Amino acid sequence: MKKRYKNVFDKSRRDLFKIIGSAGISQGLLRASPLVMGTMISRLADAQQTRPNKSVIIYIPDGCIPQQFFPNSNLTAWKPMSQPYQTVASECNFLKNMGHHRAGHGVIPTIINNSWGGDSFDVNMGRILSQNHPFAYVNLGVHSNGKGCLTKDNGHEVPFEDNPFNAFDRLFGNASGGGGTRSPRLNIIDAHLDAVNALKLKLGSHERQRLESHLSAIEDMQKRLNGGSSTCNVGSPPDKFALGFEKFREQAHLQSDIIALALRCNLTASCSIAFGNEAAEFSFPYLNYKDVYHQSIHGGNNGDSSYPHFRETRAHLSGLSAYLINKLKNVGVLDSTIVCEVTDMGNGDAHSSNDIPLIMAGGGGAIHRKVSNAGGSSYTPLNQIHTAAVVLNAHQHSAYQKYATEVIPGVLR
Amino acid sequence: MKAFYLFAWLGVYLFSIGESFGVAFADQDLRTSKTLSQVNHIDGHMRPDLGQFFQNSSSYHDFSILENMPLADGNGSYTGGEIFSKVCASCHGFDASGGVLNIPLNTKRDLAAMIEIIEQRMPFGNPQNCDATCAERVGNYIADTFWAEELPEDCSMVKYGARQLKILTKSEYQNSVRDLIGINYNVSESLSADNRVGYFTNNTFTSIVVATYEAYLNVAEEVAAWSADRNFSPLLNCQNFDQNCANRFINTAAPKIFRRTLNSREREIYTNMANGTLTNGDVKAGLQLALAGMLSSPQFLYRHEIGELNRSNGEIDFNAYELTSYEMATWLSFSLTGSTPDATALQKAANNELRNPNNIRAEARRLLNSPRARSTMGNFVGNWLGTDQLENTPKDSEKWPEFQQLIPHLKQEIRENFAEVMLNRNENFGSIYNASWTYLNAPLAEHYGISGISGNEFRRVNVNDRGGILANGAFMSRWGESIETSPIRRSVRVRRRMLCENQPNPPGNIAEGREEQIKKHAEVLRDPRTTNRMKYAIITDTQPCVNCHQEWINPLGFGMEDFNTVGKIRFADLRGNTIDASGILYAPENLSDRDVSISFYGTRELGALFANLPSAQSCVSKNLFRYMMGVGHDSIDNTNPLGPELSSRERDGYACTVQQMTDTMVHQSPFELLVNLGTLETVRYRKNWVR
Repeated sequence: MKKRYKNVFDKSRRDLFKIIGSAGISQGLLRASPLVMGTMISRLADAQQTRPNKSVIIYIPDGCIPQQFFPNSNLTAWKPMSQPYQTVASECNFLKNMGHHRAGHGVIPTIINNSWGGDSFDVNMGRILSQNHPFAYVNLGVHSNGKGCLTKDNGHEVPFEDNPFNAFDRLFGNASGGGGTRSPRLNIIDAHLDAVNALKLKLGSHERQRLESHLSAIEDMQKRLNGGSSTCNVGSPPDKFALGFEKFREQAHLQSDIIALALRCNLTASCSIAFGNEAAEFSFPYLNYKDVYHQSIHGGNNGDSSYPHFRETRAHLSGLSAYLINKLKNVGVLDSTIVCEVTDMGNGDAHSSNDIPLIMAGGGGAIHRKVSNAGGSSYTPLNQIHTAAVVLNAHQHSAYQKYATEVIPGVLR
Repeated sequence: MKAFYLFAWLGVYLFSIGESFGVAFADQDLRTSKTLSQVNHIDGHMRPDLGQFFQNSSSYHDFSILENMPLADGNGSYTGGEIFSKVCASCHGFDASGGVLNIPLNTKRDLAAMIEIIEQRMPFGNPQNCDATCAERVGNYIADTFWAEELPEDCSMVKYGARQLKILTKSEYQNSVRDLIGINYNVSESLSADNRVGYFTNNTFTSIVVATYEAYLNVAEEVAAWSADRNFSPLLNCQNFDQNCANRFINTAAPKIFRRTLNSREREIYTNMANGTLTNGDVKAGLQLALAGMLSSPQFLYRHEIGELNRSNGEIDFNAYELTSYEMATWLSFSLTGSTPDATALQKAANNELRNPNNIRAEARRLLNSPRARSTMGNFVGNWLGTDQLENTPKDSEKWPEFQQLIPHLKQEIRENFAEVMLNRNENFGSIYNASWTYLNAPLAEHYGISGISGNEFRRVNVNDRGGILANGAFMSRWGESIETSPIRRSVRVRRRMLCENQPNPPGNIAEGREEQIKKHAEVLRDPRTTNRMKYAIITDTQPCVNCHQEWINPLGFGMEDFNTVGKIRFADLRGNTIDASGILYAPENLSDRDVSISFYGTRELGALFANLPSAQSCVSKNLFRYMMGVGHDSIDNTNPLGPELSSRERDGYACTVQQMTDTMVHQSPFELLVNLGTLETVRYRKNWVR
């Protein structure tokens, strides 16, 4: 079985070359045109599109208050913290009674990873699904850095790209091979390869491992420059603004727009985004509640069991997540994308490991949507992402990290 | 090897209508191979039946944490702290002081033996659920958290640091291109985020992945283009962009960028770029290409602390390395001024002067005279205590409308206070916590109600009600709530950051008991005569909160109630009640010593206490060690249970180094500590430690 699925992916790569060949496009033209590579990948994707082939992970810190969050089974009655999802209800599956493999603060490195090393799910899906894409994975954040990493690449922490302007430049900027001639950047890269290899000879094993990651990065860059452009015609760069908490919403929307465009342009097949950080040390000065998010969960409600502050802040984060799901829909990629919204605990005030608010969305007809009836306390975010991997047919690829062995019953159609 | 006894006591609580009862038994004494029956009588009274116990215990012990995660195959992600709190604490106590069965684990013993016993026998009745990895994590957690730190018996050994590469932080990158190229805007904001370990940005264990590499390339190209637009001045001064200019770039500019002379291969590669060979003979374009290449190169991005073998140095082992003069120049410049070595430092390195301790001290003194040293010390304290992120603690704008404008001034005050103690050779350690002066400018003085200060420039001002890094506006507001103070936030930060005590995180399901308390005491909490102090005492007076709040947290935090949440001294709270700032510092030296306590009244008295408290003294050294070395004295990153760890000999050496640093700082001065940092064996001598 594994071999068959591996062959599917090998076939995918061969198909790309076949399409490029039949279109009569030379390697030189591929390098010269900023649009050709993306167009070819899009054509391939269209030709192959029978099931979801893209993954998006959304991380929202610190759970919820379950009584204030979970909607009814057919998503017609909402609670204050989940109300914003109403706009995308037809695309969502709210998992029920879910457990957590490791609830609490400080767990962000293992929410979408079954190890402290290896690959996080976004990277792993990138390895499997983005083989023909310029970027293996894209991991963005909104005031997410400094409090732990969600993303790991072969055991190496990958910081969030919190700056949407940098993200835009990287994905849609001018890092092309350029005009059919050898990119000057390749000369620089050659020099760096030489230096890292020389340095490796001088060092002990731990430092050599770090340099291996550096080498891989250089080689990835080299491959992209040699293989074609990473650009896509998406119009003008966004107007810049200061990235303070007062612009949290704008920043989140912009990062979501970038993810939607990156997927639409087939620049990558795997994205992740974090809204805030696991220590919950961020705020939304434009809401009624202006203190830090963490305080809105603990103590800031002065004992009011309806959690008026957390209700407002969590609903705001729900709205940001719904915005991204809606954006994916609007640009036409939601049906080919499986979205997993994850978090690190159930009841955020109690740091509990039950009733974890986990959502799956998109996937066309691959999962049941507009429902909240699947789940169970023995299932965790790892089962959630494994279920997504099954939807994506990635679970039998040889590179799959096997985050869990069981899918969540009742999710798949 | 010291004798070690671990009695596997397990307890059970059956909770019903607020009632609990416990039953207990003892496992066999593993050292003497006592039988269960014998041990059942060990305290002079009969323990309950084992089978009976397990029937009851399964409902209480959360073995599921171990069952859900396959620890047995080494892939489990639970930390030792998590396993301890969920599985072990119920019997041995949340603070390992013995718990319901009075079997303490909070005193030092043979760690290897304890880990072995945990692996073989724990959790009792389900030892298969905790394999060697699990046992090691739990054992190390117990030792790190609850055992008093002890120095190795012999600190006369040579204390080697690690051969390592540190990636420039964003700040170091920015400062370097400012000093080398003259860049006058924030170019580093386009770089990937720095890693944070402990309280500090720290790229010692960070790896370059494709996104970060691409960011380096983009920024380097941007800087090179900016520099080319200015004909590469001040890095290079050429009348014409010809071969002579290219040679000058390689001979004079390139060594500044690489912080050492180039080897022949590097000369060949970068000459080939600079002389226009790769740019159709266009030398200026070639220089731009070479500059972009160098500013994103491993030679520039990594701070090298590799050293070289020096068999002529009789002090060190045959397999030990000594930092070269260039590496020492780099270490001193970045550690003390946050930037690349200047021409003087590079000249000293070229003369190979920086292997000699006297010369190292002289160079350190030169650098410490720089205004940048002041900024470096400010960065240290701002990160250590979190005050550089004061914006992350917003205040209610209606109650405290002035606060937002004061943030930069509050941040600067504590930076100046700490830098003054560290860099003024006449100051002593006590001033870190108990200074009778502070730094003020007009806006801050007005906020504090101190008259006679004008202008925005900060100056040293004698005061008697504040001073030091504890009794100041930034720390007090950073760890306060938006309207009122937070005794809890302050207390936890003081204990963790200023005493270096590893106070455990709150357990799960803490809200339930607290909600009950709030309901039960709703009337009292609403009463305007109820103070903030009383409020926190009430809502934490319930299980499991009380375990930590009763001694570790509340009495310490309550003693700082004389500062309001925007850093002003107060005598009445927001409801008009008189402030009670009486406090007690429990466990002043070790978290486990809850029977030791010191009373104080108010933040100033607490600061005065810290000035002479060994744990507060060594804690400064421990944090400075991590800041300068890029690695902790006892761990690399204790939040990552599968991350690299220090080897035992390395750790012993670091413990001795921290003691040496503390002695210098307390018995000589903080300034002398900084002067002597570069002469520490841990800095000068390196090994390939196994990790």
